[in-house]
Amino acid sequence: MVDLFILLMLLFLWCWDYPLDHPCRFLIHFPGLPLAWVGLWHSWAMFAPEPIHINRRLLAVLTFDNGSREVWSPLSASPSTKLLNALYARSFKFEYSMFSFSMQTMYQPLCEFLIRQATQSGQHVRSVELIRESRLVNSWEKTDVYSPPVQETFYRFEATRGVGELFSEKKPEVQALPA
Amino acid sequence: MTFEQIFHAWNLVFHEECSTAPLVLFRILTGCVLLLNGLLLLPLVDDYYSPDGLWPGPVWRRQTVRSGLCLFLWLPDTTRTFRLFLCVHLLACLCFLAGYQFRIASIAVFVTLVSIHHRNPCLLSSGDSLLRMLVFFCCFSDAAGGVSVDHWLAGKPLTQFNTADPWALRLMQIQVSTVYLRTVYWKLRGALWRNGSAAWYPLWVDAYVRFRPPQWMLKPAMIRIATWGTLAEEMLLGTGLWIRELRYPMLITGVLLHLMFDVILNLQLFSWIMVCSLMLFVWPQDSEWLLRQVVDHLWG
Repeated sequence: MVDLFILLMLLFLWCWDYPLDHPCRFLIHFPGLPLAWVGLWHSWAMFAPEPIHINRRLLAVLTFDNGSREVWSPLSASPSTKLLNALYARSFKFEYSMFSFSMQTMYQPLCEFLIRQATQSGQHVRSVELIRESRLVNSWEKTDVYSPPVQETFYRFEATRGVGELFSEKKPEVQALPA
Repeated sequence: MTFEQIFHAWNLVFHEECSTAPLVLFRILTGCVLLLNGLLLLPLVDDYYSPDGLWPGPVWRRQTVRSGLCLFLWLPDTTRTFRLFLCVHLLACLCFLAGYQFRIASIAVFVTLVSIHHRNPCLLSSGDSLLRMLVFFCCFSDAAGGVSVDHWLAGKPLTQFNTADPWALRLMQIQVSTVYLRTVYWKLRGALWRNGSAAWYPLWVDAYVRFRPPQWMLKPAMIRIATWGTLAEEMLLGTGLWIRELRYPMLITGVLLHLMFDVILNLQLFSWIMVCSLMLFVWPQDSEWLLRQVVDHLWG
């Protein structure tokens, strides 16, 4: 039994991280599902196939009942020291996850989170707009390190009606943040 | 080659008893990383793990039910529950580190770690995956077979090490090799890695960079060396660690590579987890010597 388990694990360790259309991945797909469910899913595509080359920042613009506006950015934007950056490294990861097309389900919870926070401090939010700010890192051949920043409003949440509207239907050109 | 020879080789690799010292060394170092990892979650609880946070109950329940093991599915969805759960996780990590009731502790660490990871997968990195997998294999190992509370309670000297069937250790070592080989496989699929410019980009991404190298190190020739050097080193780590004469040179360069990554890039605990996993390749007699030196130094 132990040898069978070792054999299964060897196959799983070697084959699981192949692309989905690879024969090895196909071979291990069904036997590997219980192992993945237990928590052994993995990907070793760190900084690969291409390293991340876009500086991204998530912004949220809150519009209050009195017409005033406030810009919010995630936890990761506020730390200014190396130590705090290290402490909140996971926050960067979350911010990048918000840029992924598959994470649309997170847009409304984020807006509701911001509305709750504003309500706790006695402010009434009318709407929340989520904005992606991107700056492409140029190759070393160009004189400027970065391309001009681009801002795109991709989601708007109406607090009074509790309805969200997705502006950008096109799949953003992003990769999940690797290790 | 005959079947008999294959079975003999298999038994030699996976079942020939050896000292548990490398596992003990790994347990102590990884226990420290696990504790630190748990403590670093504390400031994130309200924003990322509470029902009023950015990933609230109904959303994660919808996403998690089928996709993975998560004890939170059966627990009340409150911030206090998560805090208590994190305390249990930290306690289990402490027992893991001390080698107290090790089998139960390692299973508890694995289950609580997986549950925390599945509660909000948006915060995870490859280091977290590796940590989960290595702790999983620890559950089957005798990593408390020396320098542990269990050992002491059994009346054995701290620096006397058990011998055991090493299949769990071998699987962990193969896992580490696979990480390096597979990451090279993925990197070689990217044009920026092949043309030698990949190392340039993360240095300008705010989410990653910790200390940007001086200007002279950012010249194209140096970037190419860094890019292709990383690929070569990772390829060599995946294979060279299995060659007796190359093992220690590869271990030293591997540790230096990860320390350099950690200085330049903000990768959570990824580099430290990799360094811990490399310690699985220290020869048993050297692990024993190292641990004896430390124990003698600390307790006379």
